[in-house]
Amino acid sequence: MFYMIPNSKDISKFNEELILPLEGYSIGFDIYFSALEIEEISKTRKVNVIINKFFHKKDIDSIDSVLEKLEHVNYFFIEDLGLINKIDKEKIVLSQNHIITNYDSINYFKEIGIKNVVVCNELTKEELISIREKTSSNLFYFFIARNNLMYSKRHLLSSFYEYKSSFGEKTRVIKEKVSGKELIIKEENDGTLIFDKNIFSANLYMKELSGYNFIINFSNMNIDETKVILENYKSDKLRELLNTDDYFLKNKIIYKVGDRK
Amino acid sequence: MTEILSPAGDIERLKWAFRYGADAVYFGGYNYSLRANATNYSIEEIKEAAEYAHSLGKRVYVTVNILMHNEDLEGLDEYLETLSNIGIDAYIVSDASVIKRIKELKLKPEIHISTQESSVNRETVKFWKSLGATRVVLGRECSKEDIKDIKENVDIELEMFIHGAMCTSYSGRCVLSNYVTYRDSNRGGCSQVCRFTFDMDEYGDYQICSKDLSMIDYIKELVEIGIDSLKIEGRMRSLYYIATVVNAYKTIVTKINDNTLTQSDIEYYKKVINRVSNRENTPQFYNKEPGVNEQYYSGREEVTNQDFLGIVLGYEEGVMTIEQRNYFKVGDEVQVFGPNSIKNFKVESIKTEDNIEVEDAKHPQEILKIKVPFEVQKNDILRVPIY
Repeated sequence: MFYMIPNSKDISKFNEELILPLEGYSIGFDIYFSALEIEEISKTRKVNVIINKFFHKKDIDSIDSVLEKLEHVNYFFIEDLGLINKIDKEKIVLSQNHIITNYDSINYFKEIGIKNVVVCNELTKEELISIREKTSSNLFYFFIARNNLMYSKRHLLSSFYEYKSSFGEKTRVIKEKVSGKELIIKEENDGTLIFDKNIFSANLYMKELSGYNFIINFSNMNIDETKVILENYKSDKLRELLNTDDYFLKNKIIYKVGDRK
Repeated sequence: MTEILSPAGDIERLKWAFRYGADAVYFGGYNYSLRANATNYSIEEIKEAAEYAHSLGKRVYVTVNILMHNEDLEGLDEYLETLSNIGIDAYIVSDASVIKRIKELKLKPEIHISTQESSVNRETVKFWKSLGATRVVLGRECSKEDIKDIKENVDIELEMFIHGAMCTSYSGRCVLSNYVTYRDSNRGGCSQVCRFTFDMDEYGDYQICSKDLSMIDYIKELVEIGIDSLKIEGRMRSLYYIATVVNAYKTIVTKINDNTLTQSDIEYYKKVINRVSNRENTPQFYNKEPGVNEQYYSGREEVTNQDFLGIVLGYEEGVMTIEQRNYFKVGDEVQVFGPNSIKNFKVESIKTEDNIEVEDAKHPQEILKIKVPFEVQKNDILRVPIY
C-alpha cells in the first residue's frame, strides 16, 4: 500500500492515501494543514496525520484541544513517545526517525499496544526483510524521499545570518567540503533540519520489500521531480529519470563498536 | 544529596572521578556503547569497576545505548545477564529491545533511559516510567520550564547533562555521519559531521557546530528543582579534565547543601572549568533558545591546555614526589589541587629521582622531588595556579 505526503495544498494530484503534516506540530515539510483543514479533507478522502516534532511543555499543554478536532483521522504518525498517552494506540504509527532499527523493539512496541511502526531508512534490504519476517506488526517505510538526516531545535541559518550581519533564505544547499556531499538545510520556527540532496528511492526493491506500506514524501521536491515521481513511482525507470540513490539498502555500514575489535 | 555523575573512559579515570568527588560513573563495554573511540571496558574491567565503586559506597552505570540492528541482538541477553551478575547499578538504554530483554530476563539493575531518546516532556517521561525505567536522562534541549514541569508531574529520578559537548541535533536524530562518512552514528561510530566545515555559496565557510554546555550558573536552581543526578559529558576526556570538572561541580553542590555557596565561589569554579576546557561553553537551552552566541560558524581554535604540571606520587618530610606532565621551573608559583584542598606555593627546589638538582621540569612523566611547605596527599594534582 502507498501513502503520500503532499508538497502542495492542491492534493488532487496525489492519488494515494494521504499523510498530512499537522500545522504547528510538525517540521521539515513544504506545507502544513490545520486541524480544520484535515477534518474537511477527511470528508472526501481517507487521511492520516504526521506529528513529527519533539514536544516541549507548550506543545504537550496545547495538543489535546487540537487532537479533539481530528475525529476522522485514520493513523497518527508520531515521533514523540509522549503522544502515546494522548492518542488511541490503534491509531498510532510510531515514526521515530532513525530509531526503529530491529525486529525486537518492534515486537516490544506491539506487546504494549503499538502495532504500526515506521522502520528506519538506514537499514539494508536484508535487515528490512528480516524485520518483516520476525514481526507481525504493520510496517511502514519511507520509500521515496529526500531523507531527513538531522533534526535540531537550533536555528542554524538565522543565527548564521545574524553572525554575518545578513539576511538570507531559510532553505539552502550546503556542501561538505571533504566529501563534496550536498545537503539541503531548512530552518523553520521550531528548529532546523538537514536533508540529503539526493533522492532516496527503494523502488528497485519493491517486490522484495512487499508487505511494507510505502510512504512517498514529496517535501523538498520541485515541480518537475514531483511530476516524474507521480508518474513513475512504481517503475524501475525512476532511477534513471531522477538519478535516485538506494543508499544503505545494499550498503551495510560496517563501522560500529564491535567491528573495531 | 544530588548525585554528581562522571564519565569514566577507563578504570584509571574511574578512580580519579571517584577520588575527586563523583558519586557515580558511567561507561560502556566493548559492545553496545555509543562511544566507539573511548577505551571502553572488558567484562573483567566492568567487574573491577563495580567492585571498586561499591567498596566506596558509589555506583556504576553501564551504557547499552546503541540502537540495535538485528545482528546486534545476538549475544545481547548474555551480555545483559553478565552485567547484572556483576552487580552494576543501572543500564543506560535507548533501544526498546534492550528494555524488553531486561524485563523478560528479570534482571536486577535499574533501567535508565539514555539522552539518545531526547525525552523533553512529562508525557514522554511518564511513558518510560510505565515501561519500568527508574530514571530518565533528559534531552539537552529541555528548558527550565520543561524540566520543572516534568519534575512536578512525574515521580521518577531525573538526570541532566550539566557540562560538556553538545550534539547540534536532538540526540539520536542525526545520521549525517552515516551519509557523509559511512559511520553509523547511532551505533557508536559518529564522526561528528556537525563539526565539519561546509560551503554555502556566497557566504563561503559555514558550520553548524554547537559550543559546549555549562550549567555552572544554574546548579543551585537544578538542586532546588530536585534534579537527582547532574551528569558530566566526556568519556574520552583526560583524567585532569575529569578531576577538575567533577571537583568543581561536587564542591558547588556540597556548598549548596551546606548553604555556604557564594557568587565568588561560582566565579572561581567558572574560571577553573574554563581553564580546563578547550571550547567555549554556555547554558544552551536552559534559560533561552540558543542563538548567535551558542554556535561556532567558521572554525574555531581548540586550545591545548598545559596547566596540568604533575601528579603527586608520594610525600615525605616536606618533599613531594611527582610524575611530571607539563613544563615548570624553579621560581614558578604552582598549585596543589586535591579533592578537598587547593594550596599554592613557590617552587624552590626540583630534584631528579637520583637527587640531582635541576632548574626546570621538562621531561614528560619524569619522576621529580620538589620541596613543598605543606603536607600533600598521593594523587593530588600539581597545576598552574587558578586564582
